[in-house]
Amino acid sequence: MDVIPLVCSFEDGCILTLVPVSVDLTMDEVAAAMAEHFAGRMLETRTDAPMRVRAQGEVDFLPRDLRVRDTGWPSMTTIQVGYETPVAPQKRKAIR
Amino acid sequence: MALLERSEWYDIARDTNWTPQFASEQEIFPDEMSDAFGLTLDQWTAYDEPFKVTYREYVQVQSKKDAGAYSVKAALARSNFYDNADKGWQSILKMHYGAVCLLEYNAVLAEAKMARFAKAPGMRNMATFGSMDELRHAQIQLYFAHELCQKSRQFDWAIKTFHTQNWAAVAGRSFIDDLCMGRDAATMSIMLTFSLEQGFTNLQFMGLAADAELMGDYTFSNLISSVQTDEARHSQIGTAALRVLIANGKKDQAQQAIEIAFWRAWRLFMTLTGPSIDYLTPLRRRHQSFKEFVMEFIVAEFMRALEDLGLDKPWYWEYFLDTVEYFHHSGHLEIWFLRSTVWWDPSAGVTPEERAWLEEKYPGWNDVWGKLWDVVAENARADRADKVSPQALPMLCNVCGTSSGGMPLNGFHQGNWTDHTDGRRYYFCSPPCKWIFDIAPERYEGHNSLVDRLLGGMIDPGTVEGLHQYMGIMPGERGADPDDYSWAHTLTPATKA
Repeated sequence: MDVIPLVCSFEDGCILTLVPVSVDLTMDEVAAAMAEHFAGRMLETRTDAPMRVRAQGEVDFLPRDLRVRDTGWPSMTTIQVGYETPVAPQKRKAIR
Repeated sequence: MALLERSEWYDIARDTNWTPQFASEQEIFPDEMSDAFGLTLDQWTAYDEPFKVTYREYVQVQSKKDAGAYSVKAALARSNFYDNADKGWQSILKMHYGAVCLLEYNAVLAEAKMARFAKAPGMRNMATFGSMDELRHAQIQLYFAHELCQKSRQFDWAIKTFHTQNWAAVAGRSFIDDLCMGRDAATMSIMLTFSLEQGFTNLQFMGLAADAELMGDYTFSNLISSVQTDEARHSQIGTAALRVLIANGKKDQAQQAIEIAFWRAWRLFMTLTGPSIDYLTPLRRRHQSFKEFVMEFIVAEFMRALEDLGLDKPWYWEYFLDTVEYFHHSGHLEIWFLRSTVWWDPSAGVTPEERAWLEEKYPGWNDVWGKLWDVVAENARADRADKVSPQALPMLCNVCGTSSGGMPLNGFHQGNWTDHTDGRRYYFCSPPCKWIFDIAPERYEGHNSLVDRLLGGMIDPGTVEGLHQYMGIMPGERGADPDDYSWAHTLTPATKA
């Protein structure tokens, strides 16, 4: 099983984390693997929307059944894992 | 024979300058060791140090300081202060000694380099005293920490830290090498004494001594005061150097050196001092938040020092001010999760009373950081050990060696700036760290962070235990929650602030 390390930026999180994943995983499985390190650990688990994956700097999420091996990502690519429906901005309160 | 006043002979006596006859100026003071700015010996003669100290005066003052610190320690040896101290304060002591002692020893070498290679005789003179200062700081702090080894093995890290591959040690060595060991005397005088000592540590030690006194830890308070008063003197070395450099048209280069060192110092300062002030210091003894301390001392004082010299705010000033709001909150949460990798026991510091204080000091804290700690507390209450310890490494910056931190519940706020050089991808925690790298990639590109080492197969096995072994942190030394999660049980939904 080929594994590559990915750098995960998880929506609403505050710590970038290195997570190795199998290249056989689909984007849904990648999102779930990444969520293990954030949701239910320091972020509340959201069940109201599916999680999606995109490379950092991209706007569109990738197809949910796309596999890591087909993304062309080099090792240590930074990905963003977020929810299909973002939290309403008014629910976000920054410290000022 | 009547003795001369000091002012009548001091400048002549300290100007141990001569006109070289058997070697060139370049051979005696090579640019890479003496002055990357390229000023001549003649230009450096304008250097005028603000503190005039003779060797006789220096020895008299230092012996009194030593006598004071050691006698207070001896007098209070039977007080059992440490045994009765709050766990948060015990952690601060452990963190301080482990982080600082051998950093001071590195500063001995840095000051000695200035004492030999500085082109200005006044700087050589001050740096000679500075080197002896730092030697005293290393020795006295190691001595004070040594007695505490019988209380906890974690104090052994006072001398051990810098000999390990612990992530904090790697970051600390990289920091001091970049500011001191790998710089010429003139640049070092700016980076070490102006940006780091005048900008941070002198003020930090004043605050730490005051905190220690409030805690009733008079031994530590006297120790730190004793160190700080030296710092106040030798931190002036860089200011005098800056005046010479600016007068000779080197303002832009000097400004860049200040900005590199200030940012690197800030990254370590917020990682260690920020959590100490806002989370580890016992609530009843807190008189100021980290943000208040930074704004009152670091920002105001450093800005005044820059203005006095006709220098500018660092280009990243607005970004820096923004990070005062969140970097250290993120760092504290992360270090609490990574506590088994550090030599102190980081208190969570989030009981309802502490949260109320944090909310007062950082309006909105409960809606942001409090929500994260609620999740952590729930796992702690339920004894979900796997959920309250790390299962993966945070990304570490290829310049400062610390992780990037962001404001949570704010989308994808955590930063990650990358760069490619010679086919290798580098990661940076912030735009200033990337800027520092881009100025001189050759300084940093050979350095491997803990993450690089893990991926490069240098840490075997690549597990949490393998990482502990690699970092040299043994059972009994590894940090733990000092309150055994009792704080989490104070945070039932009804009691959350």
